[in-house]
Amino acid sequence: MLSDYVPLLIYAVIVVAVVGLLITLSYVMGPSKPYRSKLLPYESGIVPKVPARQRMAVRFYLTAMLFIIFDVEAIFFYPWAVLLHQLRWYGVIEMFVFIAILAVALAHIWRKGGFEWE
Amino acid sequence: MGIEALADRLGENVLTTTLGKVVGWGRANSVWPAQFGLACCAIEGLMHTAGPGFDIGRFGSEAMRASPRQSDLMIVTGRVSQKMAPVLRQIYDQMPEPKWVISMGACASTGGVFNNYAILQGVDKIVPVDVYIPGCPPRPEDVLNALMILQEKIKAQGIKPRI
Amino acid sequence: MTALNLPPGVVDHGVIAGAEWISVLREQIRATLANLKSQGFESYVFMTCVDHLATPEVEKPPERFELVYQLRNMRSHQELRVRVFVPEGDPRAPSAHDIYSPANWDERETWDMFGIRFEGHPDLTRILMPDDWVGHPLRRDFPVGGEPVDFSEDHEVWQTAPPEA
Repeated sequence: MLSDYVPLLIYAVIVVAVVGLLITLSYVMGPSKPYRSKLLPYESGIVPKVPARQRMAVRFYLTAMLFIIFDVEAIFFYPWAVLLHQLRWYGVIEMFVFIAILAVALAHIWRKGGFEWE
Repeated sequence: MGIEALADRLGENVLTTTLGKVVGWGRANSVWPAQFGLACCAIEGLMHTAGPGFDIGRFGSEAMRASPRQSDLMIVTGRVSQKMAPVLRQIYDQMPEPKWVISMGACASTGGVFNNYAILQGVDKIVPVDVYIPGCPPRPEDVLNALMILQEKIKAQGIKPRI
Repeated sequence: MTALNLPPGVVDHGVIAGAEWISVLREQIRATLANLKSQGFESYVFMTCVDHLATPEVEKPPERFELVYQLRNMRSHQELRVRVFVPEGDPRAPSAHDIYSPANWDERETWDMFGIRFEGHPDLTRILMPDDWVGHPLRRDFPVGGEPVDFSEDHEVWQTAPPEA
């Protein structure tokens, strides 16, 4: 059964070889003359006065974190759904317990105002 | 057994060349201009030349990149004012090597009809120019001619490998 | 003057080439513009300046600089020009940017090109020339600039291609 994946292995080797060849060729043959003006960030030709890394509101981070947590939870549904028939009742109850634990977390965040944007 | 002997054995199925020629051929046939349209010459030199009538795409230059980081050629199309000159220089600086400049039109080459305080008298005061195209504006065929001259120059340049 | 209530403080008025104009004193300019705006001249077309240094003596106006505001009444289809004379020794004028907001950039351009300071302007900086430019280019005594060009007609022998080419 594993031999079904040999073409993939050959493909992966060719990809790595081609990409490696391109990068090596451009490193060897490409000119490299960096100077300060060339390395400045591109801002339509003007010299940037304000640094790109500035203070950012923390609510963006909060939104991203909440998304990650609940998205990973959602991912767990997929293998469970595939094997549900084999898991019988035990699988259903186990998943409901899982959801209940995460629902407690959801309720806690909701009450604490984690979903408010302002 | 040398390369020539090997080539004789394989007959006409093998081409031999030098790395410099291959790289020169590749660079010359895929010159990507930067979108640097300043004035009237941009209509002729960038827009019409890229259109279907004169078709700069058959020379490989259809991809006019908006970012200088992805372009090799800066066609300075139009008059350069005193206020625009540092911006032009900065964009030229931000293009990676190898890079070339075509100065299109009378205003970019020498200041054109505008011999005054406000217009830079020739873009070669701030960037090194490879090909000049006179005209006000030059026809798109003139731009293609300049591109072909530049292609000869690029092929003749060869490469300097780092190792 | 067709159905126009002249605002108080008008010094002179007339018609030049079909265009009506009124002339006011520098101190009256804001009151005049506000009055005209309330009369219906809500459309501001442009504001520019004239340097009369080179005007011939027969028509010489009282001061060197003349500000010209062009206003338009879209309802009654009238255009009116407001002229203000600004002396050379004291090149200041009150800013009209809060009456007509497009005057903001026109006043920056007039400062850049002629050197007339507008009092009350929020940000009077150069708009056309680079920020570190010295001088006011559209004044008559500012040189045209550029570089000398070597024309072939200045030479005895015409510089043309040889006949073989």
